[in-house]
Amino acid sequence: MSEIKKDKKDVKEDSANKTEIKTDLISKLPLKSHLRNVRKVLKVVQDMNQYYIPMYCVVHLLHVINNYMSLILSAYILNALGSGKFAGSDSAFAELFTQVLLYCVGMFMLRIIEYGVMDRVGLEEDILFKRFQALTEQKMLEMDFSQISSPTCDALRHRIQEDTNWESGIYQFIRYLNHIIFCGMNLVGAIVVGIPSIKLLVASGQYVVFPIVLALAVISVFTTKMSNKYAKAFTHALATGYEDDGLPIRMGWDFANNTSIYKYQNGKDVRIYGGSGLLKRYVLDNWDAPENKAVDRKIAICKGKSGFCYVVSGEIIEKGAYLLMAVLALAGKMPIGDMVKYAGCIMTLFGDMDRMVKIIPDFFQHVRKHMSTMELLEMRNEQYQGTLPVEKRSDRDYRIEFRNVSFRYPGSDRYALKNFSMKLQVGEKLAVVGMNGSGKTTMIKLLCRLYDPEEGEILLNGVDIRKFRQEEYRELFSVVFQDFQLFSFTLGENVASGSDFDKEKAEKCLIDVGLGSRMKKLREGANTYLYKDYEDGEEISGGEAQKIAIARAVYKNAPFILLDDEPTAALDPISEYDIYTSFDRIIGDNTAVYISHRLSSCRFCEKIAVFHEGCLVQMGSHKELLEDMDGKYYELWNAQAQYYQ
Amino acid sequence: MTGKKRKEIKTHSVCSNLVFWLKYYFKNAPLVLFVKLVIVVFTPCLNMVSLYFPKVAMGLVERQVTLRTLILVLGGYGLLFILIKGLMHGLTNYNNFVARMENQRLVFLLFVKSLKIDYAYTESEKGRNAYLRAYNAQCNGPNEQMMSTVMNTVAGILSFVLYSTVLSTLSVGMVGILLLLSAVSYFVKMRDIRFWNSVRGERAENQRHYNYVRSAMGNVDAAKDIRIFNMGGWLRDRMESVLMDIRKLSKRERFWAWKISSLNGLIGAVRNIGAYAYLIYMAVNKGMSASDFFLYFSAIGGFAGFVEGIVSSVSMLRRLADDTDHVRNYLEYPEEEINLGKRQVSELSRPISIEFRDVSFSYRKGKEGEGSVFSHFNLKIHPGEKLALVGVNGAGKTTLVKLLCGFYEPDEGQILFNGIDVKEFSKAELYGLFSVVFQDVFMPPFKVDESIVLKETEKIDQNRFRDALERAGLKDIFKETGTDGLFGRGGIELSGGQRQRLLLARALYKDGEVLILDEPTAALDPIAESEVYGAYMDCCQNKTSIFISHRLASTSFSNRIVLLEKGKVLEMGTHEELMAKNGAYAEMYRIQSSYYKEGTEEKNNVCEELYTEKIGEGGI
Repeated sequence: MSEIKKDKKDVKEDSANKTEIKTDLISKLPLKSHLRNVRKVLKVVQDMNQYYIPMYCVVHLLHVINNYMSLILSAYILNALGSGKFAGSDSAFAELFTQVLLYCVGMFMLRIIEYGVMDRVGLEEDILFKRFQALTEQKMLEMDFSQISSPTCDALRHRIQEDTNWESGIYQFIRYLNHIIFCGMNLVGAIVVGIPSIKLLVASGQYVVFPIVLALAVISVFTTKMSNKYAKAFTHALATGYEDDGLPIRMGWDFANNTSIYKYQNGKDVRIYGGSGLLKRYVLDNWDAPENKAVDRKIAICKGKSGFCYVVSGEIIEKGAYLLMAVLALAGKMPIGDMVKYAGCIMTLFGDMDRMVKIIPDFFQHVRKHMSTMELLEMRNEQYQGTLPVEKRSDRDYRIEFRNVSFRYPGSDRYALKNFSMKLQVGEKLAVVGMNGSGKTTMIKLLCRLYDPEEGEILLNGVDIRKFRQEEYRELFSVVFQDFQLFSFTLGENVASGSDFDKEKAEKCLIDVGLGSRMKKLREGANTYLYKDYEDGEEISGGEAQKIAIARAVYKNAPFILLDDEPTAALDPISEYDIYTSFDRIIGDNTAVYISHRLSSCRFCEKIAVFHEGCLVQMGSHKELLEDMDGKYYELWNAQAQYYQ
Repeated sequence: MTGKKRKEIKTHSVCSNLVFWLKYYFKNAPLVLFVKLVIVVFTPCLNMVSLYFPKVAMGLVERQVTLRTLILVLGGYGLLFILIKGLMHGLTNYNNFVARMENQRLVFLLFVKSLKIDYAYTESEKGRNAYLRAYNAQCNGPNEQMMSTVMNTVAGILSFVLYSTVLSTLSVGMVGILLLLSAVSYFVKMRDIRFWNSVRGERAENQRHYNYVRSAMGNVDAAKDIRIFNMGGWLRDRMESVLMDIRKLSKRERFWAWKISSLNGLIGAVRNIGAYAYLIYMAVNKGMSASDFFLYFSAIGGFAGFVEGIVSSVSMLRRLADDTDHVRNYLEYPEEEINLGKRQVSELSRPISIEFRDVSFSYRKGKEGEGSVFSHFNLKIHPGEKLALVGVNGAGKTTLVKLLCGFYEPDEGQILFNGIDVKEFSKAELYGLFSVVFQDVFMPPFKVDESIVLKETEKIDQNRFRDALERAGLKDIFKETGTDGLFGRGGIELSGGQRQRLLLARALYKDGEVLILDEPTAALDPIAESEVYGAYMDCCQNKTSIFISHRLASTSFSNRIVLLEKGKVLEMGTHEELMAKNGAYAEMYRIQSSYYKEGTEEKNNVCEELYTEKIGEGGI
């Protein structure tokens, strides 16, 4: 399954992507670059576990030794038998057999050790693979927020998904690497054990040997070339064969497999509007179309031809080696047992060389798929990191000021905030209103220093917030975003945002937001898991989730509480009122900023800031603003209140 | 899988599932089957030839034939072998690729199937789980795997038989001993399989935990929360704890693997030593040639391999059959009967009247009163009426819509259109009557016109489409990009308000007789909200309409308001009538409007009263 995902890459879709893509998998690279790529990935592996690869090498060594010992043993026996030395005496049998027995026992011991080391390696491997896979996510925890949400990063992450085929694991890399190491060792063994045969071949006086070797070499090289040619045709056809009017064939694949595009709830629309034909076309008919089937066949035939040539090129050496050794043995140049041994060595020699030649480019190509991940891991945080500690004030006298702040989201030309200035007094309850896209949420994000302003500055008690230690600065804020997230861990952990939490404090916060009775009904109280992703936990409604998010904000006990974008959008009037009164109670003396579409929360706030197209256009109390009948506030208010007059 | 769950899922036998796949391949990719058959027949032959090759080579040397004979015989033999093997391999590659296309295709079939099944099933927990199970099972490619496994088993058995024949020329007793050793291997293998099955659950759980923590760390939507609340440490702690669990399990698994490998190694060593003993004895004392020695020794070695292979394959079959069951159960699930109807919808005069008569409904069947949403519910909607349906979450508003649209059927009672039971009409026609805007926004990433109308481009009346766009207030939005663009990633991105208008355009294009809006303005600011409602008003003059919202602002557009609570009509009437009644509706209205009325003091008191009342009732 995964191979199909990988193979049906759509090149055209990538080129339609607006942002610049630094890595690609098609162009030719010099050897130096390939080696550099390998070294990069290796370094990451070594940093995680320095013993893993060396241990693996030990395993391979033992395995190779065992293989050759086996070969040597059979040759020895065959020689002994063939020489007629041991014919017809019981003692001869005993003598030969004892040697064989000891040898076999020795091999068995080696095997046991090999398996033991393998066991140890495997243990390290399991953890190593998991850690490696999570590197991207670990990195994302550390990145600047402005980078994570930028189009570049988004494109890069999409690229990583395509390259690594949703696996982003190092399993394949290690497999290739091990294969190469093993082949290498095998080769060395083959040379060591088999080198006498070359001498024999050359000095044999059997002139027929040379044309045979020539013939073998020619056939083998020819078929290898053909095999590679077909393999390349295969890859090429996969990448380009499915283009179809700009609508990538992947569309159907994404659709059927990606639940963010289609959810079961959408089935209602599909039935009411009769859309099943449309979906079927994109998902199934596309796939079954004769042109695509023809491409499938073409590709499959390429693969088949490649396979045929590959086998021929390998087997011809194998059987050819036997032929050559047979010629020598026939001429009496070597005992019959050695025939088997040397044939085996030559087989291994050419077989592994061939394998190496084939694997190494595959390996290099595979490593390229990790480069997008490496690129992400190497990204550096750009936000200036200040070092000033934030003064912890017990009187909570923090003053925030926005001074001529302008800001555009990364990748956008439109100013989300333009020359924006505002002062925030401590203990104030401020409502922020305005139409969608007027800059309300942006202000919050800048305030928490998720982004830095392009122009202007934000000051805390007169000091530019960039000068402070970012972590300490963020401790001043508790935010409930409209798209807040809870994690499927325990209720208490979610409230405390940590694995260790003060149970009493968490419970108090939950009671304060009105979840007291709900919490008591849970099987394990604050230790109950939420949702069913991690454990089979408790399903909670949207409204309850919002309350938990608010409890989380309360638990942090920060001087500034920011409630962004309608935390009550989905609630009925009673619950909504319930929330607003709770806020009022909970927030107490802290500074609070509410963002509100629906203006209902304005009644709870002393001051209201009205945003329009990235600027602060009005500021004042509800009464004051309503008096200005030309103002934006008046317009917004009436749009809603008209229903209630 | 627990025994209880198994009863819900139909299990077929391995044979039955195999036949299922055979039929599938026969219908969709018959060449694949033929090639597989060829491979099955030729592989054991190739194995035999490969086995005999060294013997032939050594034999020729032993017999001291001429150089010419050697080259011709061995060369010819070798060449033939190489060509056939190459052909086999090429065919296998070809086959594998083609066969795997079917893996993906089956996933698509599952998806398409989900569109044809009763919506009620796809929404139910049972249905969702069934789909997920089928999907996950299909990702393993049980179709391809099952066929391969069976073919390999057959090939293995054939090879086994051939090798036994060879060995029995040496000694039948030898074959017997080997079978005995193989039996030991078999038991070891069975025990091994049992172990791995026993840890599968724990493994899956660890994997699920790991995947979740990983996705949590990489959750871009949560990135803000993670930074503000400094959750990095928490998530890392969780990851470490998961890795710790994985390590513990891994230790057990690896140790076990070592034991088994060593045991197998021991069996192998015993076999080899025994073989050597016997064969050396034969060679020393009975004059067996070196070439025969080599032949028999190789045969003994190969023998064990086949047995192991057969045992592995057979043990996998049950698991593959289980996967197949999941896929099959979903693919064979009965489809929605949408074309059967006794009467035609065209008979109905427009606008349509709707009546719920004595309707009872619950989601969970068979349990008296539990999960019951409606019980003897009655409601009449007059033709052309604009009805507002309000009530708190869980009152039954959305369920009512689903019943009306035909997604669910009432357990008791009837739903009547113009006095006729809706069951008389075909579902297809019934669906055709409605223009609905649901809460879950569905905007697929296809071409603009296709995504909005949900029909293929050639079936769309472009004039009507443009008209619908205009009436929805979207004429300008596609001026630059044109309607040939694509939605979604890399294409056109829209704001919340614009998306709402697209849904409006969809409803307008269809121009259904009954318009239903389910919370269409939840995410909009007041100005956009009022514009959207206005637009809908302009468009549904002559149609029966139902608006669902818990924002009482929408009620100003309706002729009549119905307040639902716990599946019952609590209050009904025009806005003025209900306010005069001073009941639950009036209370809700007062709370909401209190924000917008002058004179703060009073309102807060009113709200305090109502609030404390509620607390007293234990309602919060």
